[in-house]
Amino acid sequence: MSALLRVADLVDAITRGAGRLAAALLLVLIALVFHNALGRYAFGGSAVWAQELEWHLLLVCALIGVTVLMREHGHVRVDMLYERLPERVRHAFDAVSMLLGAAVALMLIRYSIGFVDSAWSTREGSPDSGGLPGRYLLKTAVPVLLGLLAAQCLANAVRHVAALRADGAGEGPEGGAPSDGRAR
Amino acid sequence: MNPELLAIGMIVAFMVLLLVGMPVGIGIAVAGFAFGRLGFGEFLFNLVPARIYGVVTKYEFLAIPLFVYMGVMLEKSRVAEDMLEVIGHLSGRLHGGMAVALIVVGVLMGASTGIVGATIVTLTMLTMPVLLRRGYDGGLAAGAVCASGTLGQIIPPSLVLILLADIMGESVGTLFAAAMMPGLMLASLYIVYILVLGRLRPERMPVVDASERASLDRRTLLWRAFRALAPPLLLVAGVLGSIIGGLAAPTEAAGVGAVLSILIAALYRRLTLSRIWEAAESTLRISAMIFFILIAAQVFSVAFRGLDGESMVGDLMALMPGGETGALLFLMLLLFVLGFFLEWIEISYIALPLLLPFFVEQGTDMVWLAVLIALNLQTSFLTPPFGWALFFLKGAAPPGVTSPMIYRGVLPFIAIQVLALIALFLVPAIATWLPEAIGW
Repeated sequence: MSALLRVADLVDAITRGAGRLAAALLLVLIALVFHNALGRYAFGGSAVWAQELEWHLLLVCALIGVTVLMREHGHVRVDMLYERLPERVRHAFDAVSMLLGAAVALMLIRYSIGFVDSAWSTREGSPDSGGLPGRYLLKTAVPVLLGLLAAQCLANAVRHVAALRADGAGEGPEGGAPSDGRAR
Repeated sequence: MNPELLAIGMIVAFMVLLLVGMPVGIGIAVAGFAFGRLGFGEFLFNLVPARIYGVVTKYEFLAIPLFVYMGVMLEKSRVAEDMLEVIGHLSGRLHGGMAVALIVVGVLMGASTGIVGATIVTLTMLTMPVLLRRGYDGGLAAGAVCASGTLGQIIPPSLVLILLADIMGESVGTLFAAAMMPGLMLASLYIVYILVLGRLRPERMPVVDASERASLDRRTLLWRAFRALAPPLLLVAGVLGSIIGGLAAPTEAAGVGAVLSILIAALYRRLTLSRIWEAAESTLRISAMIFFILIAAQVFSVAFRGLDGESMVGDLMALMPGGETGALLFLMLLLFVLGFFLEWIEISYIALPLLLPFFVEQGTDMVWLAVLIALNLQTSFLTPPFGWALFFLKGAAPPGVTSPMIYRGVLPFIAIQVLALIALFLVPAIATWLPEAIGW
C-alpha cells in the first residue's frame, strides 16, 4: 500500500505542476485573445497562427484543468444523498467512482488511436497558410493529457482505499470533504 | 435487446448514478459506455475523440474561461461589495435600496460570467454579509441572490444563450436580442416586488442610519458613488455593447473584458501579482468543471444516437396529445424536472439535441422556444428542494442562514417566474419582437 501511496504522491505532484503550467497558459491565452481582438481593429487583422494559438492553448488548459479539479475533488455532483453517507461508505463509493473515471479515460485513449494515427500519417498541420504547423502533435495531446487524468483518478482511488484501511482515521485524499471543494 | 429500451436504461442509469453522488462527468460517460457497448459494441465510439477535440478547440468556448476570469477578478477586487455599500447610502430613506442594487449587480454578474454556480457563490459571498450586517431579512436576501443570479444566466451576454444558439442553429445576436425583453421584464418584476415589500414590511430591509448617512456629505457621497459604480458599469456596458453592436465576437469581447477587469482592479489599487495569479488558478478550475461535462457528454450523445434514442424521443413527443402545444408543455415539464438534476450545459448538450428535431418539424419558432427553455430552466434552478442555486447559496452563506429561510425567501420569486413564463407562452412577441424590430 505504501508503495502505491508514493506513486499517488508522484501523480499528485505532476498534476500540481501541470496545473501551474495551465494557469500560466491561461494568462497567456487572455493576453492573446485581447491582443488579437484589438489587432483586428488597430492593425487590420492578426496573424493566422496567433488566432490558432488561442484554441491550441484552450485545449491544453481545459484538459489539464479537468485533472487538476479531479485531484481536488472539485467536480460537480449531486450531494443530497452523498453528504448523508457515513464516511467509510463515502470512501468506498469514491474509490469505485475514481476507478470508473480511470476506466473512462483509458477507453477514450484507446478509441483515440485511430484519430491520432490518421493525424500522424499525414503529419497534419494547419490547412491555412500562415497557420501553426504540427497539428498532429496537438491531437496527440488529447490522449496524453487523458493519460494524466487516468493516473490522477487511480491515485485518488488509492487514497480512498488507504483511508478505508486506516478505518477512516483521517488519511483521506486532499479535500476529503468533497462538499467543500466544489467550484461551480 | 431492443435499442430503445437500452436508451431508456442508459438515461435511468445516468440519473441513478447522479443521485447517489457520482461526479456528473464520470457518471454520464460510464452510462454511455456501458449501454452503448451492450447495444452496438465499440465501433461508434471511435468518433468520440474527434468530438472531444472539437469541444476543447471550439472558438466559441474560448469565451468560457475569459468570462469566468472577468467575474473572478471583479470578485477578488471587491468591486461589487463597494457598489452595494454606496447604493445603501444613496437610497437614503427608501427601504430595499440595497436589495434592488443586489438584483442589478446579480443580473450583471450572472450575465457576464454565465455560470449558475459561480454566480450564486460569488454573489452570496459578496452581498450576504453586507446585507445581514445592515439588518436585512436573510430569506429575502437569499431569494434575491438566487433569483438575480439565475436570471443573469439568460441576460446577454450569457454563455447559456451562446450554447443555445449553437444547438438551435440560430445566431447568437438573435438570441441575445430575444432574451433582452423577457430578462428585463423579470428584473423589473423582482424590483417591484422588493419595493412593495419594503413598503409593507420595512423592518425586513432597514435603511442606512440617518446619523451614518449624515456623516457623509453630499459631495463625498456622490464622488464615492461615481468611483464605485462607474468603472464596473462601464466594463459591463462595454462588453455587452460590443457584442450586441456587432463590433466584437463574444470571445473577443470576453478577452477584452478579462483584461479590463484587471485594469479596474488596478484602478482601485487592489491589483497585486498574486491576485492575477489566484484569479487564473480559480478560473482554470471553474472552466474545467464545465469542460469535463462537455467532454464526457460526448460519450453519452454518441451512445444515445447509436441506440436510436432520437427516434424514440420523436415517437414520444408525437404521442403527446394536443399537437405542438401538448408537446411544448411536455417539453417544459421535462426540462423543469431535468433542471433539478442537470446543469445548463448538460441539458443543452444532452437533452435538447434529442428533443429539438420534433419542434423543427412542427415549424415552431426556434427563437421563442429558446427563450421559453431558458426561462423555464432558470425557474427550475430556483425551485426547492432540488434547485442548484439553493445548494450553492447555502454552501456560501453565513451560518445563520437556514434552508427553511432560503425556501421561504425564494417562493415569491418563483411565483414571479411562473407568471412571466405564462405571459411568454401566451404572447411570444415578448421574445420575438426585438430581434425582428432590429432585424437580427
